[in-house]
Amino acid sequence: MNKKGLYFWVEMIFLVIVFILIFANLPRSADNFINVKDRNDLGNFGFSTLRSLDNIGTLDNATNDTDFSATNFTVLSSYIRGSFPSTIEIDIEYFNGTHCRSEFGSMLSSCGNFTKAADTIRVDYTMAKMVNATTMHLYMRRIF
Amino acid sequence: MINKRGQTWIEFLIATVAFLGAISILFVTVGGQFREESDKVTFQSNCIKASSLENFFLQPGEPEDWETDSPDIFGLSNGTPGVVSNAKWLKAKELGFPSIINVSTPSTSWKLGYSISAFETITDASCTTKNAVSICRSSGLLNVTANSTQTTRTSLVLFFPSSTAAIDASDADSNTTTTGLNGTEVSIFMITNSSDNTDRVNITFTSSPDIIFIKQSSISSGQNITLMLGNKTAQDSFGALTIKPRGLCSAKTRAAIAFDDEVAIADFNLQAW
Repeated sequence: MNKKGLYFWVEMIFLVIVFILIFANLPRSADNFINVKDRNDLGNFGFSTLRSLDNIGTLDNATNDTDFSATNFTVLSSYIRGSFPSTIEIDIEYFNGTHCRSEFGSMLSSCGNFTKAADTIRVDYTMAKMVNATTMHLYMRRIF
Repeated sequence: MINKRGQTWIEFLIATVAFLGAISILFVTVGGQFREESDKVTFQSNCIKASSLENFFLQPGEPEDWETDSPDIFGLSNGTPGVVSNAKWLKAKELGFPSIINVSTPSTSWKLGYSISAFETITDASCTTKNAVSICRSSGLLNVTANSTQTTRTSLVLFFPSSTAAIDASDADSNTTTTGLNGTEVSIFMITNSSDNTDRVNITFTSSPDIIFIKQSSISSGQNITLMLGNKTAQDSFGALTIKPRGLCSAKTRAAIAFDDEVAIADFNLQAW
């Protein structure tokens, strides 16, 4: 059998290098685009839903403008929860600038103090028509 | 004896096959990868377009009251952020997509659709019930009618927040009512055809809610059956007609839609490609 010469092996090494360079430099876009888009869409959906409820006067009618603590939180919650499909899980908090209230109106020691899944996003919507503007914290995640 | 130099035929053959194989793998892999990446980039740029167009269309346009004439710049808002004017929507449909695309985005194809997801509890002056699935409202009562001459399957889920709702009369094929802490959910399923062309469900409700939600609506028919709210179209679309274009991306949002006599909430879906 013929012994391979130096240039044969040099050629082989060049060939392997060329293949590695080609495969290592193929264009590859970020794979997390869909995840980012999905989270943006979810946040946009949450914000636009609350804005729509505000625009047609539902949030205004369901809250007590002058004394937020006197709001019927069960009714307010039913409108907000009714706006979302069953494939979106939500949690609601209200923040008046100094402290948070739970979905059903009880005072909380701190905001967002509950167990949240890693894919939960938070949307803030300020109900500016109220005398003391209150911000709604809407925690959302998709479920299947 | 003189040594023979160079390759034998077998070596030459193996080397040639290996070379051609390697080149083929390279071309197929690189070509496939480029195609895949090109599709991803097209999709991503269409998503950016869809999102931008959605924001653009939720502006009033120029002049702000262009629905009385024609727009210089297209936009659907009635001037309040997040509220779409039904008059502008109808005027855009009347002018036609080719006219509108010239004053919006001449180089981008898009299609915009809406589906009402919540409506107020007013009384409808008149209701369209022929060849339609119609929700007709009066005080404390909803009358849901399905009418078709071809086989049509209608599934509708309505939610009455903070209220108690009950089915008063029905000739639907099935319906269920679930009452919970947050309100009452009513599911209706109707099949209409040439021999049974009308199904009707009456729903009564107490502690009248501000709005009633359409949680789900599905109409499957061989004929053009639309969901109507009184005599208003509850689902409509406007834009280029196409069959699954490459890289299509959708942007969804919610907005209020202002009709002459009421404001409803609608899910808007903008597709760009």
